[in-house]
Amino acid sequence: MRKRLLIVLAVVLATLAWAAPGFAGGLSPSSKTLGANGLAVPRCDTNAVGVTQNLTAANVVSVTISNIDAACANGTLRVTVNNGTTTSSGSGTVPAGGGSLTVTITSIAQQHADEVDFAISGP
Amino acid sequence: MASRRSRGSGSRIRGGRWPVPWLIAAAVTMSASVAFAASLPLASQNLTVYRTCYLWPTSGTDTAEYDSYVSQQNGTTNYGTSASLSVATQNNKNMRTYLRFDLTLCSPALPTTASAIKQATLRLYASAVPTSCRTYDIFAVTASWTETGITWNNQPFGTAINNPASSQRTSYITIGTPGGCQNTAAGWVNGWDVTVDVRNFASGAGTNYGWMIRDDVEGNSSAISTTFASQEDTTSPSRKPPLIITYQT
Repeated sequence: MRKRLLIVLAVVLATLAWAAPGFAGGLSPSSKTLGANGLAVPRCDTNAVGVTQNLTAANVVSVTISNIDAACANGTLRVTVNNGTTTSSGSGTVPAGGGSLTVTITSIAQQHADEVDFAISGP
Repeated sequence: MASRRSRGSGSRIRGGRWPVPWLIAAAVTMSASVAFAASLPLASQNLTVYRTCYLWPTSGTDTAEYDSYVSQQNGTTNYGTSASLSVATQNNKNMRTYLRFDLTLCSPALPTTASAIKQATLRLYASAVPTSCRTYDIFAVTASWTETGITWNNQPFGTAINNPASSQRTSYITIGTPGGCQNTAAGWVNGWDVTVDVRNFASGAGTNYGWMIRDDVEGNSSAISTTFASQEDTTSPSRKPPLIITYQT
């Protein structure tokens, strides 16, 4: 009986050890806090930015993000356009001083309600 | 003694060692993993995420947007199928532009929490700008209208000029060639900030009847006007009016 308890205990510990980093890896990008410590994920831009889809014919070929706070300088900006059928992404580096950045994406048909998501990681 | 030690320590199993070292290793590993997870350096790495709903009609019949202008000079004429939109000030010949966007087309749906909507901007493409700097006010419309039915005489805000008062505007832009104006050349105007209105529409605090744009001072002694591309513009698909709503997730 004692043997079984020890074996079960070992299995439980091993499972927990495997699961702990899994939980951390599965955090949603929208999470604002992490774990019991409630660490806030800081943002380099908290007000508003400008977004412009640039077209060639009826296709979105790039996206311009403007009014980026200077605190985001040198951060990596990733843009994804979802037109409801397909998605297209691109990335670039926020210039020194923030401001504006145009990110080229693979041409995607413009639809009347495109979803344009973008994230700035860093600096 | 040997027998008690053997049983007491639990160090043997079927002729082999009890998994005590394994247990220790597992516990250490688990402890280390949890520590790593808790010490992820998120506090030192910015992550700024925005989502945007980009409402932009693709054709003259696209239901994402409706627009028209009304002319005081032709009080019963509807301009819903016109390729252009006009704003003008002139005694008895004023013009106003009406626009409305279908916010329900946004996918995922707009957040109903007002503070989550960070910015909403309505942009128009000006084919030319006036030679004097004019202020164009935008107002949230408070009654329904249709693209093919609206005229000067039946417009939601009535036929009185300079109504509603400028103080009730949501925002404004300035446009004209003189230096100091916000928009001094033809092309995309910087756009009207309609964040407050979109927050109200999304939260249910207000009904989305769209917006009206007029000159800040109607009834000028001489004609001053600006022409914008409408949904029906066929010059370039990229000149149709967009509404851009950025929010946080």
